Amino acid sequence: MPVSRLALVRARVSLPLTRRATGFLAGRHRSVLTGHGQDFDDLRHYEPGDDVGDIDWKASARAGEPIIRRFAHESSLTVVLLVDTGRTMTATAAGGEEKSAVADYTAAVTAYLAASRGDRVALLAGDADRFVHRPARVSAGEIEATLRALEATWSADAPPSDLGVLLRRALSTFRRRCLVVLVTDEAQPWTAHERLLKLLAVQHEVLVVTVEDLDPVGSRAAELARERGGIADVTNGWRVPGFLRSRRRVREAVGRALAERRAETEALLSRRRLQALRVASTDEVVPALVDLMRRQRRAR
Amino acid sequence: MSPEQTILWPWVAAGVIAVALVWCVVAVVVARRGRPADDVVRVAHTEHLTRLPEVRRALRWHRIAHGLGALVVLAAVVATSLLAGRPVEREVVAERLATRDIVLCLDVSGSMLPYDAAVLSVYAELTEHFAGERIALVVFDSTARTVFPLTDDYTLVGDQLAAGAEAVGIDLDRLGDKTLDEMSDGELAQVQELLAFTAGTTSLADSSLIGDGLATCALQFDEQGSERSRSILLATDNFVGEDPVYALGEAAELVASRDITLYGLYGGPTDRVGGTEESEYRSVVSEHGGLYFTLDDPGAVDALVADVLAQQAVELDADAESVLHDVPGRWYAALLLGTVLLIAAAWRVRP
Repeated sequence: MPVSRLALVRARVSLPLTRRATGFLAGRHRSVLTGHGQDFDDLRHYEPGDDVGDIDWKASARAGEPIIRRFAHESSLTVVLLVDTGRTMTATAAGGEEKSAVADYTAAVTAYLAASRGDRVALLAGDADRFVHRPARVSAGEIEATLRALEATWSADAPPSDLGVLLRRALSTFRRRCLVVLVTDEAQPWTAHERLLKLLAVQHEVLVVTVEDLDPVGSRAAELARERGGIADVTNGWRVPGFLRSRRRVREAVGRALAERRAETEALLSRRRLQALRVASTDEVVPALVDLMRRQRRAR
Repeated sequence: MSPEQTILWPWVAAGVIAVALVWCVVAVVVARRGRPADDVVRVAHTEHLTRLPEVRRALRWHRIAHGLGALVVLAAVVATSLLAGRPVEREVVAERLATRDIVLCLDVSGSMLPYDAAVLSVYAELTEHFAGERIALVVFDSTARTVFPLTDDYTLVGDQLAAGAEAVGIDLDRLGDKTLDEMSDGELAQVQELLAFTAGTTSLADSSLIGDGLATCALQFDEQGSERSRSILLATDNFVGEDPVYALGEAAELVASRDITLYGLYGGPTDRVGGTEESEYRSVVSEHGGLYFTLDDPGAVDALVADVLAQQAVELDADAESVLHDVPGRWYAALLLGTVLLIAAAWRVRP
């Protein structure tokens, strides 16, 4: 009998992290879930990107600068799980699990948090050829089905990733402001998609969760390779020769290149005001989310 | 004939290569089966890895090392197979070895003893000109003794001739007057040697039975069934004792009837050259068409050698004997080098 993914997350998240998770929710509500609604919440200065229709003209006249009126979120927000299901996502994550498992778990945690708040959860998953769309649903059963649909998408011989298509789909599908949780891996050509990311960030609140790839010449890879029959690339089947792991200069060069790529990606994402989260295993997902919320709370 | 290098057992060499190939195939199959393609750690984005110059350099070196390793293995396998196939040098030995027989027939009677050392040195000089001919030495006084039978062992021939020359080189003029008691140990040893060399050549009654000695020499030849060049080189002074069974002339007849060439070497004192005995000896030898020399004839050896070699050496119908020498040398070196390189490579280059 399949275990409910939501139940799994609840068992893991709620008990020890109740207080922090509450803080997380509070943070979320302040940052994302404020917006259009019936109940007046507060007034604040207009910032570029805010809806012009929200400007409280009287208050602005009093203050001498644009002030917008915010309302507590009356109805639920839509959380969009935007998941890259390309073949590389079925490879091994830095923690040793499959990256798809980490992506699944990230989606489940996010969905759980959303569901516990009464938000709707939608799924947009795809790669170069395939595309899965589950419209926003609020019931636990439906969300569970959404997560199952995502789980069923993973395949070792899946088509390659295509982040561009996924981002364009998200832009065209969701017009109202949502929380978009983009789950993909680190090695995407981020600069090529910078324009789309910028548009997405303007329209939605975006959280980018990247799953770290296993370093094929690292010590974790060496352990795994000893247990099994070696290391091979999922895309071209290239067997990574073991001697590379024993070359110090190679390991160092790979580490340097990875750090460079990470710095570049982080610079781009922060330039576009995208919240970024890097996880290596399922264990890191919840602490990383909590950590993100804490940072965010301080920032706001 | 120049030596020729061949592989003695080419099928063994082929077998080793076949085994190596089978082993290769088995190894590949086992490697494939033992490591199913799906039981690997699957990783993504190795294109970032292979783009790094450090990685490319490492891969290139690794490929070169593997290529060299394969070459070394190939060389070692080839060397092994050739070694297993037994590389030999085939030398076909000419069978003129046994096609000429020469019996050196030496008179060691008392009258000849002072001259025998010189005769033996002529014999020794003579044998140096031969290669492959069989030589025997017979010494006789009243009876004959075979010092060594027909042989092509030139080391033995040389040793025996030298030992004989030493034995007969004894200073008889000085020792002749002494009794055994008066002699020193060295002199006694010399006498002993002489007695040993001439042992069995004297019977109680007679001495210097030259005809009998020559006849005995004529009986030295074996291989009577085959067409061979046979020669006797007789050295005597023809001072005949009493009552031989064969007179010199009769013995020469016997020699001639057995199709043996008789060469004469006069070994007596030079002042007797032209005397009765010497003349008889010369005429008997000349009658049967043999060459005749005196001991001091400087051209004797060359003329004898030329005449013996001029006789048609008849090829024996026996198979040409081929002598095989194993020559593993360079293949062994190649195998050794290959093994050392392989061990070094296995230690240095990991999979």
